[in-house]
Amino acid sequence: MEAKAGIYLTLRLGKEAYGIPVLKVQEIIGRTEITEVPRMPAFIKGVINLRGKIIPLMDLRLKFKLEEKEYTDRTVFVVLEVNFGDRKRQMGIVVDSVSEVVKLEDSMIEPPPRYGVEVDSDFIIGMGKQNEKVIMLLDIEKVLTENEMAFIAEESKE
Amino acid sequence: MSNLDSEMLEVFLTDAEEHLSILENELLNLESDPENPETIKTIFRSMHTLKGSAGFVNLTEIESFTHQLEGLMSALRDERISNSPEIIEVLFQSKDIIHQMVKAVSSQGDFPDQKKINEVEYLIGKLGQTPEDTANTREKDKTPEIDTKADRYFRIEMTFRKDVYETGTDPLLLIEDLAAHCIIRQSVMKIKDVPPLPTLDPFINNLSWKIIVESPDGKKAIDEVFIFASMDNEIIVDEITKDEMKIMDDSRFGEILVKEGYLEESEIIETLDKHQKIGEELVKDGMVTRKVVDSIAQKQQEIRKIQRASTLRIETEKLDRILESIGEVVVVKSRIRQIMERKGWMDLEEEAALTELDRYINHLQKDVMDTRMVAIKDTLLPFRRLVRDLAKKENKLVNFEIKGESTELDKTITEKIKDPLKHMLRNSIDHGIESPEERVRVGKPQAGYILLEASHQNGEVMIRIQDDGKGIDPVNVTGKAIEKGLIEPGRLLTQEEANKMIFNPGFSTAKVVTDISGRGVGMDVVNDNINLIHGDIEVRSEPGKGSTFIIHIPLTLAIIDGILITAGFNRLIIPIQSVVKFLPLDESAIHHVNNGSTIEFQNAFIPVIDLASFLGFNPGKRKMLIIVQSGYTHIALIIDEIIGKYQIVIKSLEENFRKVDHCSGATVLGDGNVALILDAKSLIRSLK
Repeated sequence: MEAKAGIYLTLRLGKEAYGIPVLKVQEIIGRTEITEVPRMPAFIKGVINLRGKIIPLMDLRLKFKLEEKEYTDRTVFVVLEVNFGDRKRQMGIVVDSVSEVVKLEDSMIEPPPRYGVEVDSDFIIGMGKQNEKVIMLLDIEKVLTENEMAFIAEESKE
Repeated sequence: MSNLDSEMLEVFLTDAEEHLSILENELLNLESDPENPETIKTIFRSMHTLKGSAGFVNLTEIESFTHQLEGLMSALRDERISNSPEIIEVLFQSKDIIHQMVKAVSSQGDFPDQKKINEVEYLIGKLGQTPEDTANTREKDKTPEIDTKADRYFRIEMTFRKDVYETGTDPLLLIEDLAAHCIIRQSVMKIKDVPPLPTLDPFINNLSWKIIVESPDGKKAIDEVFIFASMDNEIIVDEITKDEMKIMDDSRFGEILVKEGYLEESEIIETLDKHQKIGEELVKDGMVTRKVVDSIAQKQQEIRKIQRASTLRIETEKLDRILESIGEVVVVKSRIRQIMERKGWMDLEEEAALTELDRYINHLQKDVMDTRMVAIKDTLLPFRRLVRDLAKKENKLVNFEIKGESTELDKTITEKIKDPLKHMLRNSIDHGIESPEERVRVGKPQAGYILLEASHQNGEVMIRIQDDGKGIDPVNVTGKAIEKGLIEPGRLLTQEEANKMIFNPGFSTAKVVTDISGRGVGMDVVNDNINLIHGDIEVRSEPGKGSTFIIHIPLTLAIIDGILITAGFNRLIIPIQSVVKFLPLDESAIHHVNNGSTIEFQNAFIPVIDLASFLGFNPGKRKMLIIVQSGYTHIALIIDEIIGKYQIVIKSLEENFRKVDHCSGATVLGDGNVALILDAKSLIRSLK
C-alpha cells in the first residue's frame, strides 16, 4: 500500500508527527472516562461511551512500543471509522495531541524509509513533506485491525 | 390456475394460514372432547371458509377436497354420524393435505401425492356415511337444523333497586356469575341515570343492564343465577330466536348510535326486533335523519379502517433503535442532573422539571417495551400437536394442558425458548410419563398429565413444565452417574444432587440431537440455551410422583436488572439472576488449597476467586464476597464494594470491538461511563 495525495490530519506522539487520511476520522473528542477491559494487550486501554455506542480505545504510543505517557488535558481521543471484514467499525486512538490538517500533493509524498524510524515500519506507507516538516503517513486500518485478526484466528482455533 | 390476481392470492394465503391454524387447534380440542358441538361447528366453518376462498381464487383441487371434508363435518355437526378416533385421524391427515396444497400454491413445497389424496378422500367418503345412507340415501336432504333450538338465546333486562348494595346484592358479581354459566353475546349498560360527579352518591345504584346471552343449559341456568336477586329487583329474562340473535350480532351500528348519544339503547333493541337493517329502519321511523345515519355509516367505515391498520408490522430492529435512543436520553438526563448539582443550580423548580422528564422517559420506555411484547400463545400452542404426535409414537397416553398462553414477553425471547421447551416436553414424554400399563400397575390413571404453564411473576416470566410421570429417581441417577464416571461409587446421591446431575454435560445420553432419532436432548444443552437469554431452570421432583421444571426468564433481553459492584476499582454489573448472596469478606473463612481457595457455602465447598486479579485489574480493596451461580454451580467472588441495584440497557461489545472474556456485554451508567456486564456462566466454566 502506498500513501496517496489527499488531506491528512496530523497527530503528535512525542516529537514526531503522524498523518492519517481525514476521511477516516469521524471526530476528535476530549478525554473521557475509560473502562478497563479484562485480559487485553496493554495498548487496548479499554472501552468508552460514544453517544451510547461502546467503542474500544487504543493507545497509539503503546501500540508503537513507545514510552507510556500519562494523559493530560491536551491528550485527545481520535475516533476513526475503519473497515473491518465486511463491516465498518468505530474505534478510538489516544494521541498526545492533534495539530493541523494538511493537504499533500503526490509530489510531496515520498516512499517510507526501510530503517531509522522509531515505529514498526510496516505501519508507515509514506513520508509527507511540507515546508520543513516531515509527517509519517500511517496505514491506520492496519494499525487498528492487525491485532484483531490475530484474535480472530485465536478464536477460530478454539 | 392461470391469470390469478396475485393480490387476491395473497389474501387467500393469509386466510388459509389462519384457518389452518384454527383447524389444527380445534382438531386437538376435538380429540380431547370428541362430541363438543361448538368445536365441530368451528371446524365446519373453517373448512367452509377455506372451500369458499379456494373456489374464489380458482384453486379447484383445494376446493374439491375441502368440499368432501365439509360433507363429513356437516354429518358430524348434524349428529347423523357419531365421532370416532378414525374420523379424527382422517381429519388430521386432511388438514395436513390441505396445508401441503396451500404451501404448494405459494411454491413452498410440492403438491401432495395424488395417491395419498385418493386414499384420504376414500376414507372421508366412507366415514361420512350415515347408517341411513346405506338404507335410504334420500334421508340426507331432510337434515334437521340443530341451531334453531329455540331456547338457547336470552335477553336479560336487569333493573336494580337504588339501595341494592345495602341488600347484599352486587350486580357485578351477578354478571360474573352469569358469564360463568352462559356465553355473553352482548351487554349494554345504561348510564343515563348516573348523576354528574359532584352529586354522585357512591352508595346508590343508578345502573341497569341489558344482556344478550347464549345459554347452553337453557333458561334454568339463568334463573338460578338470579334466584335471590329477582326477589326484590326487576329481572326480566326473555327468549329470543336465532334470527334475532343474528341481527344482534350485526348490530355494531346500533352501538355506535348509542355511544354518539343519538338514541337510547331501548329504542335500538326495539328496532332490532323488527328484523330490518337498522339504519334504514331508524330513518323510516323518523328517529334520526338520513344525514346522521350517513355520517355514522362513514364513521363505521373509518373504525373498520383503523382496526385493519391496527396491526402494523415493524422490524424489531427499528424498535431496538428507539429503545436505544431512549437509553441515551436517560443517560444524558442523568448527566444534566449531575452538572446542575455540581454547579449548584439545582433548585426546587429544576428538580421538579427533571422529575417530570423522568416520568415521561419511563412511560416512553415502557411503551416501547410493550410494543415488543407478544403473547406466548403462538409459541406454546403448536406444542399440542408435538405432544400428541410424540405420545402416539411412544404409545403413551398424555393429557396435555396449556395455561397462561396470553402471558406476554419479548418477541426475541419467544423465539429463543421454543427449542428448549420442545426438548423439555420431549424429555417429559420420553423419560417422564410411563406406559399406560405401567401407570395402571402403580395405581395411576392410564393417561399421564403434562402441564405447560406460563405466568408473570416478580417482573419475570415463569414457564412451568409439570408431569405426573416417574420423576427423577436418585437411585437410577446415581447408577448412571457412576457408569458414566461422573461420581465415585459408594454413595447414593440425594434428591437435590440427582436433580442437579441431569444438567451435567456428561450425563445426557444423546450427544447429537436430531429430530429424526426422536431422542431427548441433554438437559445441559437446554440449560445453556436458557442461560443465553439470562434465564435459569429450577427442578423439583419426587420419584414416582413426577417432575416439575420451572424456567425463569426476564421479560426482555434489552433491559435487565443488575447489581453494580466494584472490583479492583473498576465498576462491573452482575445480572441479578446470577447473584445468590453477598456478605462481608471474612478472610479467615477462606481456605487455601494447593491450586486455589475455597469457602463453605450451603454445606459444600465452593471455589473462591479474587475478581480483580482474575480479570487482570489492579488489586482491589477486597471487602465483600458475592456468591454467584450458573445452573447449579456456585462460586464466590471477592470484590471491593457493592454500589446498588440498577436497571440497565444491554449494549453490544462486539459491534465495534470484540467478544470480551467473561463479559456478556456492557452498559452505560448514569454518569455516562461504561460498565461491563459480568457473565457468571463463563466465569464458572473457565474454572472447570
